[in-house]
Amino acid sequence: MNWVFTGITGSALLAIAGGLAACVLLLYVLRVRRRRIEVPFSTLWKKVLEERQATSLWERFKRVLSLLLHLLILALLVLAIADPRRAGELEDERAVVLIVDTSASMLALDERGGRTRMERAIDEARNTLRALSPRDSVMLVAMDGQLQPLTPFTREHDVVETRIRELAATATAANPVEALRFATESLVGRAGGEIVLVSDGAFNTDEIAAAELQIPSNVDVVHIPIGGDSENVAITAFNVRRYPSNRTNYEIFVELRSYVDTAIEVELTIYGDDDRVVDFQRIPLGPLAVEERVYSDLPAAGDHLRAELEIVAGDAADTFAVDNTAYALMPRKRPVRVLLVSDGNLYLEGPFLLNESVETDILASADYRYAPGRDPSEAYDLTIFDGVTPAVAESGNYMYFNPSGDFSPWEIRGEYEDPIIDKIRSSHPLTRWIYGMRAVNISRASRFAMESEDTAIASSVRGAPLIVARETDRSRSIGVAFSLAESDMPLRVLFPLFLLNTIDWFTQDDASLLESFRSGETWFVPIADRSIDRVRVTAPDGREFDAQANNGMAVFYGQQTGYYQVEAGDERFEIAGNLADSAESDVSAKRNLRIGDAELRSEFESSGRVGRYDPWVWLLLAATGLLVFEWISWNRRLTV
Amino acid sequence: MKLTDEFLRKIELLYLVSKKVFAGNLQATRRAKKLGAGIEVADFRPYVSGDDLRHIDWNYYSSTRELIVRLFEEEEDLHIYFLIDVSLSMQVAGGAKLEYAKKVAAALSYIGLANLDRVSIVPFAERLFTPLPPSRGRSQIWKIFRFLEEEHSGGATNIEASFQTFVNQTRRRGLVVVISDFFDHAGFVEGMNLLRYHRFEPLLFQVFDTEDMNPKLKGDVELVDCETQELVRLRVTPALLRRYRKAHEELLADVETFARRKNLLYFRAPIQVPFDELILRVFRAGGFLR
Repeated sequence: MNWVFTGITGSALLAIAGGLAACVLLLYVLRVRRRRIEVPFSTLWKKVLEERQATSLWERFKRVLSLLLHLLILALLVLAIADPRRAGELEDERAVVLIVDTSASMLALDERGGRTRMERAIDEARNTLRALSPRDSVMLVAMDGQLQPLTPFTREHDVVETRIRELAATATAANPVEALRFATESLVGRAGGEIVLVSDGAFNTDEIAAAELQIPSNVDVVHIPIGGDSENVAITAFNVRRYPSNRTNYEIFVELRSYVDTAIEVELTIYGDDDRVVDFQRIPLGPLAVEERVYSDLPAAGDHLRAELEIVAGDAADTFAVDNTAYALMPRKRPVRVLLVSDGNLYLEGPFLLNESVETDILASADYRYAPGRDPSEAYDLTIFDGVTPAVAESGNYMYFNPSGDFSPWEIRGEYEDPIIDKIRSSHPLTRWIYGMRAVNISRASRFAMESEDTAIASSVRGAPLIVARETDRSRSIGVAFSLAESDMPLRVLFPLFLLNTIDWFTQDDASLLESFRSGETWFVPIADRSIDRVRVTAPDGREFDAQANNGMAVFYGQQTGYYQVEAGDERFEIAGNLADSAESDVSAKRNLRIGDAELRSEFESSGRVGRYDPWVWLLLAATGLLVFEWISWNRRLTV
Repeated sequence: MKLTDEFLRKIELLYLVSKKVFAGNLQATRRAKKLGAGIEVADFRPYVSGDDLRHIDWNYYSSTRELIVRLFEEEEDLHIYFLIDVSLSMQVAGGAKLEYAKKVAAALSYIGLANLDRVSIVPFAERLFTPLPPSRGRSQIWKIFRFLEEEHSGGATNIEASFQTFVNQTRRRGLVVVISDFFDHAGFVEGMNLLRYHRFEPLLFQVFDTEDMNPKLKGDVELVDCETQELVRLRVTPALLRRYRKAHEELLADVETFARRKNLLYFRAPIQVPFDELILRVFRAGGFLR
């Protein structure tokens, strides 16, 4: 049987053993300074010693025996430090990637003793660790919305166990594909590779199959299942939007899912600011039902909305609480400042004056004078030129009705008489919710020369652009090729909507459904000041951290549900995070996970710890035994 | 030696006890071995020319026609010599053994003086120190006490040389009380025989300390003989200590055996036994009192 020393090298072993042996021998050679004691009659002692002379050979042997005993103890200790191993034992060592699911579903309370799945998973992970041989290296990976390798490959199992005990579930969905891919890549070039996935399988198992993971044949994948066949109800969507025409009111979209095999009844309560109840409903849910509800025309009840769901009837127990609460925020309502350069046009002024979210200033065309460093439109989100076309700054948002002259953004190449709107770009934000534009009558319109940045929103039968949107790096412009006075457009319903769309397009304000952020994803949060590169974020649990911002977008990873506070320079606002993951809410445990055609084993094979041979332990025990023997024999004067 | 009230009371008590012994309550008679001009016949021997004709037993001659002369016990004052070992071996461990020896000597001296014996104190070690000349009468006890209190510097023990000097210097025979630990590297036998040969009556007190028999030693030690400064290096083991105890016992037994063989009075005097108890043992054994 071949042996190798894994504690220290052979040469170091020899050096240490030789050095220590020399020390022991030196101590034996050196005479101990004896205590001097006065006695009344030394003859008696000499007589006694003379009797011992007969046994001096035995005495010398005992002295040599004592020396040999000490050398043997020393040899055993040095060997124990060297940690000898059978050569074959080293070849059997394994490299294990231990993936522990820390997603939200691990907070389900369905383990024995009222424990969460996370607690059980920690126990299983520790058991797995204990089943490993000290020679096996292990890497711990926490799997939630983002992958977190918590240790590198290490044989320091105590360190890994400490990190396992610190594991905690987050309110994010699991990402098994990334975890398995990472584990597979980590095991490249390592012999005896194994992946152990400690998880409840509450994720989209189809994703694993679809990912076509290339797991090498020499890498075993073991799934240690956690959890039971639990039931759950969840709010899987909770979104809110303001009405475009009346932004003080809003509507809510809620999606509820039942993961119960029987019919149940739930209570859905929606709270506004200060926990004021906005709505309360008892909703019957069929077996495994998905219920979508829209709450229309709700009056504003502050900025915060919270929905809470509870089973009130039926034979079911909700074991997973994280998805029973959802959060939403009303879209931020920022007043839009509009400068209307007009010599008087009630049709145009009317829609703006009636809209309380728009602050409108009117300036006579003669008073609008642009000069470098003095730009009257600088303080406004939008400047509308009604029949006048003065010089303007290069950057800015401008809307022109019937532009003309040298400063017209569009070259005018003639006129049309009675053009009929025929082509409408209905996908453009400017035409959102607008119907009946083709019925607009126009008596005369200018003929715009289109440029590459231009988009024709509405064109005549002959293809002549009548409403054009231009978007460059520095400015946005809308050109209406006709005068409002020469059209019946202001008299139509679509006109105020068109103006609202115009304002939204210029201010990038999206009045469509505003979805909350999903926990477990990287969030891109728009901020007003594009020059800010760092924002301060306060998580729902009060934890604060800095996040990077770039080009008007703060980027950070959200792993909690609730309201996050974002502080970007002078701007302060909130965003809402929800789990909103139907796969994660499906907390019924999956026991037979598959990768491709292969079903994963559910039993982790021990490294044979029971039969494992740890020579250093026995060497240490032998040395201790000899030390005890030596101590007893010395005290009983057997070896001295 | 400190003369405390308690010590004095004890020796006075011992004296009273001795008077009872003297009165015949105990078997404690002793005669002088010297033949002389007394009135009691001690022995007979054949007549030789020059003998005093008055001592011829004419009655015996009339019946047997052989001339024999009567030998009479000489009536004289009894001389008691206390030979006290003051060697260094008696002074180890604070001199407890020497102190004990002096107490025994003082007590017996008092009793001797009270019996009108002549008492002399003779310290010895490597040689004989200047003795206290024989004193008589109870009043002399203070002189003896003072002498015993004096410092007699020690040295190695040489019993033979010391006793040789003693027998040479001492003309009057008598009782010789030897108080010693008998730790003489050359042995004690020759010295004792010198006393015997010169017709002294030796009485042996072997003083020893039971602590010496059970020394509290451990490990590697270097033993120094307090008298000869001789070094003995050894590793103390329980077996060695057992053998040492045995050797010590043998030394005691050697002295005792010698005394028994030579018909000498012998007393073991462990210093842990109060001296007055030892004196009472002496009374019971007889031989000291007439």
